[in-house]
Order: sequence, then structure tokens, then C-alpha cells
Amino acid sequence: MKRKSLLLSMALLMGVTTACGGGGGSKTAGPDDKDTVTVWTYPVYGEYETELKDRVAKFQNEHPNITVQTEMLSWAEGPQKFDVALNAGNPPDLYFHSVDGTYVNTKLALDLTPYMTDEIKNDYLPGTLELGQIQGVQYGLPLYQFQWGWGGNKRILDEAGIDWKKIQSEGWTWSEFEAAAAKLTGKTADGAPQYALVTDGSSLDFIEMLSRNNGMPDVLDDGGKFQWNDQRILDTMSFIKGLLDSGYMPKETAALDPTKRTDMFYAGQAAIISKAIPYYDVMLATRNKDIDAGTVKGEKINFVYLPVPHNDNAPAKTTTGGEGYVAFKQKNDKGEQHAKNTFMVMEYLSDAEAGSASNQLALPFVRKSQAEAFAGKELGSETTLAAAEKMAANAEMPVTLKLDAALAAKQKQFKEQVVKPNMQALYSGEKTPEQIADDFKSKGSQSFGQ
Amino acid sequence: MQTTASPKRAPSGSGRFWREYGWAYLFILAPVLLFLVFTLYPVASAFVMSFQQYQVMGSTWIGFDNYKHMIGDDVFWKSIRNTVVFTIATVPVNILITFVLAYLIFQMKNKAQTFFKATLYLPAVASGVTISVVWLAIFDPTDSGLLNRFLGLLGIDPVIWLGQSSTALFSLILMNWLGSHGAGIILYLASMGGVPKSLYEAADIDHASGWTKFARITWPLLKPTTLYLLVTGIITSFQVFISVYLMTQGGPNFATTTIAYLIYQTAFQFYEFGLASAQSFVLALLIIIVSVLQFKAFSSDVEY
Amino acid sequence: MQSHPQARSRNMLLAVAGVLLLLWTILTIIPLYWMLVGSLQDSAASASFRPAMIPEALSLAPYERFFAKTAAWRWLFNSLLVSSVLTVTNVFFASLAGYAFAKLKFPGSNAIFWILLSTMMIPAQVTLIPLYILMVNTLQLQDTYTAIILPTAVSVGNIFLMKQYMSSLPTSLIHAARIDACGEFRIFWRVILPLAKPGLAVLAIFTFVASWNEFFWPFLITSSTDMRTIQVGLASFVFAESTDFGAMMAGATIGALPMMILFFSLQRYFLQGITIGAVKG
Repeated sequence: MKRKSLLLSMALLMGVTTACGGGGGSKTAGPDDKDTVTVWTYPVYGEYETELKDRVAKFQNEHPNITVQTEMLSWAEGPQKFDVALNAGNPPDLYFHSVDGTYVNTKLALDLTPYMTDEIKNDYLPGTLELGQIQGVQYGLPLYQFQWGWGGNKRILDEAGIDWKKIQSEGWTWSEFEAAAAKLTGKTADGAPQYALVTDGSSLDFIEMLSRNNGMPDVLDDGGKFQWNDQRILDTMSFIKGLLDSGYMPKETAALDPTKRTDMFYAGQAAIISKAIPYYDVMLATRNKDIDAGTVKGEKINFVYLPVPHNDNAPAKTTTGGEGYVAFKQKNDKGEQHAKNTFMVMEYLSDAEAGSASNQLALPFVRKSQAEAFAGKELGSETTLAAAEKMAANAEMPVTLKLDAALAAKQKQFKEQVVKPNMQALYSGEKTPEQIADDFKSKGSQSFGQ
Repeated sequence: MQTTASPKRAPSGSGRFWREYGWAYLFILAPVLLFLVFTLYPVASAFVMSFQQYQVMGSTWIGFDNYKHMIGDDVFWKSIRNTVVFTIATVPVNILITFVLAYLIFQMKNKAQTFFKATLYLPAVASGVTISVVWLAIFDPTDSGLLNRFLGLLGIDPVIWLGQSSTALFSLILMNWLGSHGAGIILYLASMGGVPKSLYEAADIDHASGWTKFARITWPLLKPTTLYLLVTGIITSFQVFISVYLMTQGGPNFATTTIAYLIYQTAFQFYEFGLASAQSFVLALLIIIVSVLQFKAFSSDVEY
Repeated sequence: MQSHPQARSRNMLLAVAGVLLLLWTILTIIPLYWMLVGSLQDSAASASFRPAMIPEALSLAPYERFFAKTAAWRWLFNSLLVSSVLTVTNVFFASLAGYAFAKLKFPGSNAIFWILLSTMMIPAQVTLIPLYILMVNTLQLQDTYTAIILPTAVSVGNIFLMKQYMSSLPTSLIHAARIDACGEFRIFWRVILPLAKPGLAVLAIFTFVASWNEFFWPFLITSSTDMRTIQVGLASFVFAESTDFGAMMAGATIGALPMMILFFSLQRYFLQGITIGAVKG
């Protein structure tokens, strides 16, 4: 009896099972055989989940033998889930992300070359297809080409008499920015300090965007040569140090997180936020409407999309990249037909109708068919779209697309373990620009052997 | 633990052996089986990984390279230092806080006991994200931060709590002190309730002082609970990750990088699973040594 | 007469203790209060919204939005199922094993216990990948309740807790039962378990709360909306362009509610059980 109850409990434990996940199709599958394509994606913009559902339903209608399983991940935890799955040899067939050398390194990223017809290739606008390539091999299809600039509060800029239209069309230099910053720094109406510029203490985009505008594409250039070891990086950091010392940026910068950074911008405590995308235009317009309707309290903010200032003797560069679906195979390869089906779903989710992504995010389109499909339906304000267009002309391609995976990984590690702590030390005043430049030089020569 | 170390040998024959011990093995059978498959196997795989350059499609054996690399890494040593500081600063203080709170509650009447037990345990139900949102508001570096406003009342200038090396780790320690002690309190109270009244009555007859009663009766009988809280406290504090991940991401300048956070970074930011495994086993070794020392220190007079 | 000043000073001490406890309670309860207050303030479509500590107007709109936009009932059901099964398996197996380690002297018990305990010291981050490979590639169990439950069906930490607890129970009763020629399982079932009720109640609460709050493993191993637990659902619950703080807090409150209910219902039983342990002497 005693034994029985023990066994019973164990059976109970083992018995709580429901449907099992199915295996893939066999290797000799034909084009009409049943197949399942898994897609892991993110809420790319407000309506994406709904739109994706409709499109998947349509696709399954047209291809009754293919089931598309989508999973909507959250931005915060999604990447980790994907990392575990990828490194366990079981990634989804399609994953929404920018292409990454580490993916290629696992040998599980699917080379799309055999499936790319001329028709597809020619549909992409110049310079966009490359955003889905690593060292010239196509692994992803970009859904949009993102760009990062700075964002301004129109009221504060106007009150200080800043000619932001001119900045949008011609760009600005570091000294011009410093002159403007002096006018933008002061007190808000309720007596709180008002800063010209706000950034957060842990993200690297601020230093990367500024150094890019001082002649350094990244820590490495696309030939793999170490860049951050000379006067240029020292100047960039001295420039930041100057902004902090003059009170143009908050002295608490080291301890600000991205949410707090946004808060300060929304509260009018900062005239300019150090990272903005054209989509803020749409987002802030919605917020303003909500304020009018009384559902949200706060000051209405009109958005001004600004280029990042460049050093007086260096060209202006816009930080950009591509995001879209990247295709994978599994360790337990499901065969050629499955790869074909995967690509078919991928192309379907990146086609003319998928131009909705660029449109919603107020970004330039990546495919001709998309530009045609959405002509006259653009969502962003004309000013912002024009500014984004101007900035796209100065686009600097991410160097990681050209670097081999091992070097790209080293650069990433250098940023996390050397650049990040040093930037925090700069913000908190624990280190001088000179000390940091020396540290970059010595640690860089260790990491990159130059 | 110690006293079971010398079990009687089964005198003769396996039948006798099983009659004597079979039940014990049967009792631990299910947990051990589950453990073999879902814990020991992954741990063993990770151990193998620590000698490899891990790759999904085929890892390469690199011997002790991961361990060598780790020993030469400044950040690794810094993370060990931070973890040890964090553990020394939190675990004893937490046990003291827990014990004092439980002891105070134990003096209360039934209804008050229920109230305090319940309310002090409740924070355990709030998710880590909720708690970190609140603490970020408390540590807000500007003048409007809760803690800085409080300091302002005392005429002290605002502090950039999480943003400078000198205060970041302390801020996390402070947050830990004020965190939930509900679980420990409930354990202590259960044990305190289990101490037979007759022992105290006997002590009263001998006119023992309050302190004598505490030192001779209460404390020894609470030792198993204290040992449990100590060991699990050290394990969790050596593995402290979530608060670092949500609050500081190891910064500034590695001031709050703990080993567990470094392992996470190595594995999931740099995809170096072999190196991360090596770091994990060094961490485990450290915890095991500390735990064994604790068992040794405590078990001399704990009844098993 | 003599006892009078003593009683008064004892009352004084109790009062001071009460005040101290009350202050500490207020301090630790703030996050929960914030969660509740945040869930009751309407904050639609504002990323930078932070609730006022003393709200001006209360609204249930965040709850309506939360339930309208999610499969919350299904998630709650999943969490309830998973946590209940885990509570039963953990309480049963951990107390059985804890009893064996604490009271039955058998060859190798020390070694086995230490092997079990030492694996607790390996951080989960590195065992994730092998465990995932085992569960998904080998056993093909992704997206099932079994996969969520199995790895923590009986946790080493709980065995440790039970071992510690059982070792404080009187050995004399077991001897007595053995002299009465009871089988070992019957001793466990009839003598030990009733004695250990307070410990079991504690273990049940801890296990339930821990499994209810467990996020990462269920998140990794489930993929369909219908299989998510409430914690995974909450994390995936991201509103259109900005995070809806109020609805998020409403979700967090809904997620915490079942645990509060469980805790308060076990609380009474748990208080009764304490006296049973006091037979030793």
C-alpha cells in the first residue's frame, strides 16, 4: 500500500502532459508536403501584431500546406530567449533582428543567396540590401533602415532662438552646438534646472554617435583597424567633458537610466535628448492628442528631429542600420524544402505590404514596391521626413557588417568591458579624458593587437 | 550531519542490508532520479563545456585555457571582490534583522503575530520588476529622488547613488537590507513555536535569567534554522544577479559587477559559454568551501 | 505586588517592539502599495507616467485594459495548475527525502546529500543551455506543462529545508513507533507528517510563491500564448508604442492576488499547527 501511493504520486507527476511539440518534416519533402515555419518577432510598431496576424492568415490561405507559427517576444527578454535557443541548436526559422556576426559563427544562419531572385534583388533600393549581409553574404532581409539622431523640444528651441530648420538642412558643428547649448541651459518655468542635452549613463550610443561624427566609424573601421587610439577619441571625450563641466548636461548623468532620460525630456527639463528616431514624431503627436483629450497629463511636446553635431573639421555622419527577418536552420536540419518554405514566408513578410513598418516608423522605404504602395500615405510630418531623408544621405554603414565574426565579437567585448566603465567614470568625474584615452590605447592594443 | 557519518555496517547479507536501509533509499529515490536527469546532467555538461570553446555545431577542446584566461582577467577578480563584499555585508546583517524581527513578533499576542507575519511576508509576492521600479525612484540621482529629498531635509547635498563607484555597491546592499525578510521570519517563528514550554518552565524553576534562557534554550534549538538561513543566504547572495541586472548593469566602472552578473555577460553578451562555465565552477567551489565551513562551525552541537 | 513593575516594563517593551515592527513593515510594504496605487490610476499611453503616492482619483480602467488585451484568465489557470502540481510534488518528495536524510541513518547519506546540495551552488545561467537541449532537442517537450514542471518537481533547496526541519523533531517518537513495529513509510505517513505540519505549511507557501513567481524557465520553454504562465504573460504584455504603466501594475496586482489569498488561507492552519511540534522534552 505504501509502495502503491509512492508510485501513484510519481505517475501523477509524470502524467501531467499535454500536446507535444511536433518534429520537422522529413528530408525528402516535396513542395506540397506539410511544413511548419516558426517566426519569433517583436512589437516593431503599434499595429504590428495585428497586421502580422492578418498577413499570416492570408499566407496560410494561399499555402494551405504551410503553418506559420508566430511568437511575439518582449524587447526586454526576447533576445535572451533567442540566444538560448540558438546556442542549443534550435533557433526559430525566422527571427526579427539585425544580422549579426555571432549568428553566422554558429553556422546556423541560413545563406539566402540561392533563393534571391533578380526580381527581389532589384526591388531593393541602393544600399539597403547590404544591411542584411555579413561580409557580403545575405542572411537577412531588412524590413526598414533605422537611423538615430537627436530629438529637440520645439518650444524650448524656439524660445532660445535656435534656427533648427537650418540645422536640419545643413547640420551643425560641435562649436555651433556649444553656442546653442549655452542658450538652452537655464531654469524651467517651475524652477527646476533645464539642461541643453540629456543622455543616460549606461548606453554607448552617445559616445558612438559623437565619435562617428569625428571621423571614426566605430571602435574599429571596416578593415578591422583600431580607431580609438589617437587624438580624435580624446577630443570627443574632452568635448563631452566640456558639456558636463559647463552644466549643459546634468551632473547626475552617470546615474540616469534611459527611462529617466526620456522623463526629463518629456518634463521639459532637457531641450535635446541624445537618442531619437523619426518615429518620435508620430509617438509625440499621439501623446499630444491624449493630452488634449485629457487622458494624459503633461506638457505637449512638438518634436524636432536633429542631426548629431559633427566636429568642425570632420564630416557629418548618421548612425544607421537595418532590421528585419534573419533566417536560420536547426542543428537537426529539416531539409531543403523546409529552407525554401522558410524563405517564402520571409519574403512574404518583407514584401510591398510590409512597407507599413518603414511608413509607421517614419523611415525611408527599403524597397521600390513599398515606396509605391505607400505613396501619399506617409505618417510622419513633412519636416521630420525631410530631415530623415537628409540624414539618410550621410548614412554610415555599421562596420560589423564587414568585419569577420571573431573581430566583431572582440569589438563588442571591448565596448562592454572597456568603453562602458570608462564612460561612466567620465560622467561621474572619476577619470579625466586623458586617462581614458590612455586606457583605450593600452587595452585596445591588447585586444586588437595594434 | 556529523553524527550520521558513521552508520553501522550491515552485519551480513544483502537481504539484511536492504531490510535495514531499503526504505531510506526508496525515500530519496524520486528526488535523486529527477536530480540526476534535470540537474546533474546539465551540470556535468556545463563542466565539460568549461574545457571547450563552445560551438553549437561542434565544440573544440581547449583544456584549461578558459580557466587560464579567467585568472588573468582583472574584471573577474574585481567581481569576486564585489561578491564577497556584498555577501559579508548582507548575509549576517539580514540574519540579524530577520532574527530580531521574528523575536519581536514572537512576543506579540496571536492577532498581532498574524498581522506582522502576513504583512512582512507580503512583499515577497511583488515581482522583481515592481521592486526595482520603486528602488530606482528612491535612488533617483536628482534633487527629486526620495532618498535625496530626505538627505536635503538634513542639509546634505544630493548623492548620485547608483552612478558613482563609491556608493553604487552600498546602494545595492541597502536595498537588500530593506528587502523582504518574510520567509526567514516565518521559519524562525515556526521553530520558536516548536521550542517546548516545559524547557522554559524548568529554567524558570532554576531562576535562570532571560539571557541564560536565550543562550541555553532558544538559540541552540534555533540553530538548524539559522544554519539553513545562513547557507541559503550565502548561496543566493553569491549568486546575486537580478538586482544588479535591473539597477546598475554592473556599473559604474565594474563597481557592482558580481560573479553571477559577469557569468551572465560572458554567456549571453559574448556567447562564451565555455568561459562562463569555468567562471561558474570557480564560483561554486567558493560557495561549497564557505558552506562546508559553516556546517563545521554549526554542527558540533546541532542535534541531527 | 512585586510583579507589578515587571509587568509594566514588559508592556513598555512590547509597545516599543510594536512601534519598531510597524515602522519596518511600512518600509517594506511600500513597493506593494505603489503597485496597488499605480494599478488604480489611469495612465493611458504615457511612458513617463509615475503614480502619485496619494492618488487624486481612482479608476479601474487599467484592469479593464489589462483583461481586454490579454489572455489573463488562461495564464492564471496555467500558473495555478503548474504551481499546485509543483507544491504537491515538492512537499511530498522533499519531506520524504528530508526525513530520510535527517532521521534514517543509511550508508552514503552524507555523500548523497552533499552532492545534491553542491549543485545548488552552480548558477543557473550555465546549466540553462544543456537543460534546454535536453528538454527541447532530446525529449521534444517544448511548450508543455511537463517541461515547465519537471526541472523543479523537487528542488534541492526544499530537501535541505525539510532536512533541517525534520532534524528538530523528536527522535524518541520514531523509536517508539518502530518498537510498535510500524513500517517505515507508515511511520513517515502517520507519525512524521502530522508532526511536521507547520514545516509542511511553510514549505507549501514557499514553493507555491516561488513557482508562481518563476519567470525565466517557463518563458524559455513555452512559445504559444495559451501555455504562458501569468509571469511570462505579464512580461510579454507590452502595449502598442509605450508601456501602459497602470495596466502593467494592474497585471502585477492580478498576478500577486492568488498568492495573497493562498497565504491568508494557509495562515490560520499554520498557526494551529505550531503547537503540535511542542511534544519534545
